[in-house]
Amino acid sequence: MIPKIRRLEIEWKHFAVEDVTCERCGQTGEALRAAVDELREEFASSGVKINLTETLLDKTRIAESNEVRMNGVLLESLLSASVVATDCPSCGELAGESTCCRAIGIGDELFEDLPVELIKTAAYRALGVEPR
Amino acid sequence: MTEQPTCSCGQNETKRLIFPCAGQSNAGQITNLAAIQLTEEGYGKIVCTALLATGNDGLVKSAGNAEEVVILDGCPMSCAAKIAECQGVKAGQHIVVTELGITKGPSRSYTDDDIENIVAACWKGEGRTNEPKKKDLDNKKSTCGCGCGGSCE
Repeated sequence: MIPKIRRLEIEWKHFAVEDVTCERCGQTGEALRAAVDELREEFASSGVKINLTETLLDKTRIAESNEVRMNGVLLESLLSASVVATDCPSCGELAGESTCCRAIGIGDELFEDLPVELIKTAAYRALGVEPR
Repeated sequence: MTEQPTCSCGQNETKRLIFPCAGQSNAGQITNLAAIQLTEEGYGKIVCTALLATGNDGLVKSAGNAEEVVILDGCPMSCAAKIAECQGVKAGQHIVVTELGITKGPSRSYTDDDIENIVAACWKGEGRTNEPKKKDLDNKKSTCGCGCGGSCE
């Protein structure tokens, strides 16, 4: 199915100290890059442009860390998911104090880092196409 | 019987409408090219800001029924936004080219990257004037001091 929407702008924000990020965001970052590679390959013939923008946050914006938007829409909205915050020891080490980070809840499942399949599902919804 | 002149710019569309100021400067021309590219990418439909300025009933009605009105202005003069306001058209997103790192004139030249920046900003919703309510996390009082808004487990 060729999407009517020909662009996917993915924005990812996460806490970092001198380019070092926590385990949770590190895993999300790897998954995002893998998902983008796969999506680019899938939609190459449809002419869909897919961009990933990464924004590093300082300690004052930890509540926004690991937030993903696709074409301006929050990933949790695309997936009808809930957002909670869970203890993030890795961020705690970086921040030097006890820290909690965003996690996504879908049904009974809780995702602290975002897996490739979840990201791709949100991407398909943002593009208005059925999963391939 | 005289035929009513019509415009093919999408005055009868009801989805997302894009009004570029299309001013003479580089910044103004970028709005027009960005609006065309956004239309081709399926973001919405470019419509004539000049037609809106005439008070065209059909276009004013379409804008009122649109899911979102996007206004692209080249500079802080915000001519397109002012035209929309005069016609009672409410912008859901207002992008000003010069506020996104592009200098207006004196040259009329622009690059593909300039257009790309404006197009990407629209897709990201950077000009949203009615940003949805901030997520619940921000509204809750924090008890743990970690920035989670008090919802950590």
